[in-house]
This record gives sequence, structure tokens and C-alpha cells, in this order.
Amino acid sequence: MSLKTNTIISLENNEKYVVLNETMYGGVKYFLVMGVDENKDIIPTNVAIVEEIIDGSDTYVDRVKDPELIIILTRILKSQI
Amino acid sequence: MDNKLKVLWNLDVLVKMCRLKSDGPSLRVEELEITKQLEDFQQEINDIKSISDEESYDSSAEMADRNIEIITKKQLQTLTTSLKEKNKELNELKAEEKKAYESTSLLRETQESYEKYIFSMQDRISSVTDPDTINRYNDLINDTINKKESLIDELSEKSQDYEKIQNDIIALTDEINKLEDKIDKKRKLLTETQTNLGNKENYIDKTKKEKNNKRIAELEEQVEKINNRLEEIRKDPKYIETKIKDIINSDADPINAKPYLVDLINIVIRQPYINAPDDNKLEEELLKATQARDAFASEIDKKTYNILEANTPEKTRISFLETRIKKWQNEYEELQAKVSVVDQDQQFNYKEKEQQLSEMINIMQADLLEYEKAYQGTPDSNISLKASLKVSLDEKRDDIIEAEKIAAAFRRDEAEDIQEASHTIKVDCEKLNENILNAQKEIEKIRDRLLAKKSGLIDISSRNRDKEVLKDLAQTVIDLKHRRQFPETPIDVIKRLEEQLGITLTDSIDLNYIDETKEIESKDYNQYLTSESPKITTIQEDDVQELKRGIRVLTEDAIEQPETPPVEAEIPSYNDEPQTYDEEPPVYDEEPQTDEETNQNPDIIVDDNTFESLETPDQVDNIDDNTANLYEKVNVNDEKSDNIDENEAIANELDKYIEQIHQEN
Repeated sequence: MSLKTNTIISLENNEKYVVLNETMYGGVKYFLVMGVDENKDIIPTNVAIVEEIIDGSDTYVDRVKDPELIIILTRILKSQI
Repeated sequence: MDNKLKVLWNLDVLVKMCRLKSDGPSLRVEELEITKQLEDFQQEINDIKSISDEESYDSSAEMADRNIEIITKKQLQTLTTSLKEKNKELNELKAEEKKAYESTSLLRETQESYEKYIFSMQDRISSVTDPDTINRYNDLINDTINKKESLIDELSEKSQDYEKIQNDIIALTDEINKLEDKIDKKRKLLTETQTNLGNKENYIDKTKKEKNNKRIAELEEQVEKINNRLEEIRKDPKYIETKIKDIINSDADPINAKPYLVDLINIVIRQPYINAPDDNKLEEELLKATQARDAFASEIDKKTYNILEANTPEKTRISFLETRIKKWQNEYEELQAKVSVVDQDQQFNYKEKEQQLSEMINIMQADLLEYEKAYQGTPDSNISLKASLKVSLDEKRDDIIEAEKIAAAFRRDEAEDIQEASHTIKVDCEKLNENILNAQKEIEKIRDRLLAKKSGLIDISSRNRDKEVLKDLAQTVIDLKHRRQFPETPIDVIKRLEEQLGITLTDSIDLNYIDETKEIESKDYNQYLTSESPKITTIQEDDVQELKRGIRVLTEDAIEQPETPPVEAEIPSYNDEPQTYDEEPPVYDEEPQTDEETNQNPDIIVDDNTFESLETPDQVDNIDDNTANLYEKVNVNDEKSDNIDENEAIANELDKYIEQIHQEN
């Protein structure tokens, strides 16, 4: 199951994010996500770019930490806004 | 009603497939305005054309010419009469002149005869002595003189008369000439006037006509322009949609909608990728196109477009020269190494050989001394021994001479090698050095020329070419993303419309084109990838991900859509029937203006599963009225301008995010 934009994802570590946008770079899907609290209210300061990892029927997300990659992805994602 | 809604829904899908920003009702209004404008322009053109000749006719000018004709004719008549009288007068004067001339001539002749007579008589007196004769002659002379004087007076009078007549003739001739000129001018004027009167065109006001013609040209140009716009409007899918809707809503025979539907379908099927099924192949193509676009965009970002690095003839030359310089430098180094081998005697080890030879010669000379001592010490009596020693002694001497010769040969060889090395340094290396310097100078000159360019160091043409390529790639992504929004192909919708309307559409559309374009022809995207770019993979090739594990996503919930009241009052069944939001109806995204706009409005409920569930025409047919209503509702939500602010906020957060990353590093 691939992630979709305009959805709220709940992670194993109890964090919740709203999926704002997606892009494909280097054959990998990345999503721009923004944190939401228990009441599903947006936490604007909690923005992240996550990489989607699909393993069978499970979907994992991994926060992108490589600064260079973040700059590239941000540029792409920002251009889509 | 159900069937009508289904038709309208299917129609909407076809129109959405055309991805247009235009608005049907506005186009209809514009059409009306243009038609009205067109009529006005046409009327104005006709008015100008019909009244132009009458309006432009200058009747006063014609009247003036008529007067001129009459007056000139009268004047000519008077002048001709006058000329005749003057000519008659002249003839009379000429006759008078003739008479006067004859008369004066006669008087002159008489005067001459008198003078001759007087002279002859005076001559005679000088030779005559007889007084009577002299007296008689004197009397005759006096008498003749008197006559002559009287004649002279008469001649003078006659001459004056003659002169007067001549002057009169001259004056009259002048008058006649002037009169003839005047008559000529009047005749010309009469001819011109009569010519003008014979051609009505001459009395049309040309300035006014030109002005009218100019206005007609302007109007015709405007007519052409708005006709073109009218044609554009009538070919616009949104306009066609309104026409079809009118027919459907008025319950008229659906066959009337066929021409419009065919026009619409022919536009739809020509949208890029639209005839291809929404399957993995489409996803794969989108993935490849997106990767190629991003990789190329990244590549462009890195490019400086420095003119010195651009692909220009100068760069080709510089590159060639640099290769040559490298080659010459290698050759130079090789030669230097070769010379160095000679200099350091590493090639043949001459020194070692010389030492060896020297030692050998020393030994041989020592042997020779021994031989000589032995020879000297051997008594002469021992002839055979002495002879034997002598032979050995001579041979040893010969050996030493040969060894010396060999040592000399080595020295000669070494000298030759050194000489050759010197030649290499002096000629070959110098030549290479010169070549290198010349090539470097040429490179410098080319660079100086490029650097001196007024347009700067940016290779604009390369940059523009790249921009065009990126634009094409981005367009492909947009086209593919647009196609991905629809679970069906146009032909699926067309077939449903045929059933719902009970008319055949497939007989009038280009089915061959649909067949030709239903398979995606994958483009070659590898050319846009650099060595640093990841290789394009297919969706199935996700082995990279095997190595990594992030945090597992437990649930993924669609964002709840706030309930919105029905927007279209013309669909009454919406409020009559219960809403079934649980069974989420198919909703199409707002068509993107760019690919970046796709999938980014968090307000819109997008459930891809709905598309997946709509695999057959029957399933689509089963969509109830609520579906159509919700579809309309979502479209309205799409138009909310709030998204702009929200997007800006996200963009700001992204900026902050980058800053934060920088600070952390």
C-alpha cells in the first residue's frame, strides 16, 4: 500500500502526520508531511520529508536526514506548492 | 432523470479529460457578444459600401465644369472671330505694304536716274566750252535738282508710310499670335473639361473614398479576428459541453447532440496519453518521466552555463588543443626521460663497460709484460720456445690493440648517443616546446575573445535549449499525471454515452487514432540522466528498499471533508436521497494547470480506491445522483482561494526546515 497525499498517517511510534505532497526522486517516493496532534490539529513547526519504504503489505517511512538530499527535495516540493 | 444525470456525469468526465480553464457559460456569453459585434461590423461595412459612391460624388465640381465648358466655348467663338478679323486686317496691311514698297522703290529708281542725269550733265559741262550749251545744261541740272529734291521729300514721306505699315504688321502679327495662344489654351481647357464631364469617377471625393475603404479594411480585419475567436469558442470543449447540456436538458432528440459530441470526442482523444489505460505501464512511464525531469532539473541547477564550458566551436578547438598539448607534453617527457637515461648512462652502462675493458686491457698488458720478460729471459738457444713465446707475445699485442679498438668503439657509440641526446634536446624538445607554447597562446587568445564578449559569460542559447527540454519533460509529467486522474479511457465513457443516449458515436470518431495511441510508447529518458543520477527503475524494482526500514505506518486515513450544502439547484434529487459518504463516490481532482498542482490540495477528498473500484462501465452506471452532487461540491471546494495562503504557509515552513537542517549541520 503506497502512501497518498491528503491523508493522515499514524506511525508505530504514535506520531501522526498529514501527507501534504509527494515527489519521486531517484526512483524513490518522498512525501512532505506535517505533524498533527491527537485532535488532528496541524503542528506547523513539525515539517519533515519522509522516504516511503514498502515491504510486502507494510509501509514504512524514514525521515530524510541527508542535508543535500533535503535541499534537493525541498526545492522540488516547494516548486510544486 | 437518472439517465440524464449519468449522461451529464459522463459528459463532465470527457470535458475534464480535455483539461481546460475556460468556462462554458462565459463562452456562451462571449459568443453572443461576438455575434452581436459581428452583425454590427457587417452592417457598418454594408452601409459604407452602399453609401460611399453617392456620398462621395462632388456635384458642385461637375456643375462648375459644365459652366467652364459653356464659357470656354463662347470665349473660343469670340476669339476665333477676332482672329479672323485680325487676319483679314493683316492681309490688307500686307497688300498696303506691297504697294508702298513698290512706290518707294520706284521713287528710289527715279532719284537714281536723276542723279545719274545730273552727273552726266555735269560731266558734259566740264568738257564743253560753248556757253549756251553750258547754260542749257546748267538749267537742266538745276531743273533736275529741283525735281530730285521734290522726289526726295516724296520718298521720305513714302518711306515713313511704309515703315508705319511694317510696324503695324508686326504689332498685328503679335496680336494674332497671342490670340492663337489664347485659343489653344481655351481649346485645351475645353477638351479637359469635356473629358472630365465624360467620366463621372472624376467627381468622386477620393479622400473620402480612401477613408471609407480604410474603415472597411479595418472592419474586415476585426471581423476576421472575431470570427477566429468565434471558431475557437465553438471548438472549446466547455462550450460544446453547454450545447450538449442544452439539448439533453431540453429533452430534445439526442441525435441533435451527436455533432457536438463527435467534436468533443475528437478533441478528447487527442489529449496526450488519454487513450492509454490507467495501469502499471502508465505509472511506470510517469515514474520514469518524473525521474528524468528531476534529474535534468538538478543537472541544470548545477550547470553554470559559462560560455567557456558551453558546447561551442571554440570549446571544440580548445579541447583539441588541450589534447594536443597533453600529447606533446607526454612526448616531451618521454624524450626528456630518454635523454636522462643517456645522461645518466643508464641505457648501456658505458662506464661499467669501460672499466671492465680497462681492467681487461691492464691485465692483458700485465700479461704482455710477463710474456716479454719470459721472452727476454729465454735463451736464444732455445729456439723453439723463443719462437713460441714470440708468437704468443705478438698475439697478445694484437689482442691489446683489438681491445683498445673495442674500447674506442664503445666511446664512439657513447659519443653518438650523447650527440643524439643533444640533438633531441636542441631540436625535438625545442620543437615540442614551441608547439605547446603556440597552442597555449591560441587557447589564451580564444578565451580572451570569449571573455571580452559584451553579452557576458552566460551561454544563453544552451540555457534556453535546456529550459525547453526541461519544459518538455515537465509537460510529459503533467500529461501523465493528468491521464492518471481518470480510471477510464475516453472510449469507455463514449460507449456508455452511446448506451445512455441511444445513439452511435463510434461511427464518427477516429477509432484508428485511438488504437494507435492506446499503447504508451516509452520515451528514452536515460539521455537526461547523468552518471550521478540514479538509474531509472521500474515500480517492480524496489530492491533498494530492502536494506532500509523506517517507522511502520499503522493507519492511513483520508482527511475528513466538511459537509457542504448542494451547490447546483438544478439537480433536485440531491436533497431527496440519503447521502452515502461511507461509500465514497469517485471524485476527480481538479485538473492541474501544472503537474505541481496535482495532489496538493489537502481540502479535497481523494480516494484512489474509488477509482480502482470503478473498473467496469456498469459500476460507473451505478453511481447515484449523490455522486454527481458531490462531484460538483468538490469542484467548488477546489476553487477555494484559502489554499493559496495555506500553500504559502507550507512553503515558509519548508524554508524554516531547511534553515534548521543547516543549523544542525
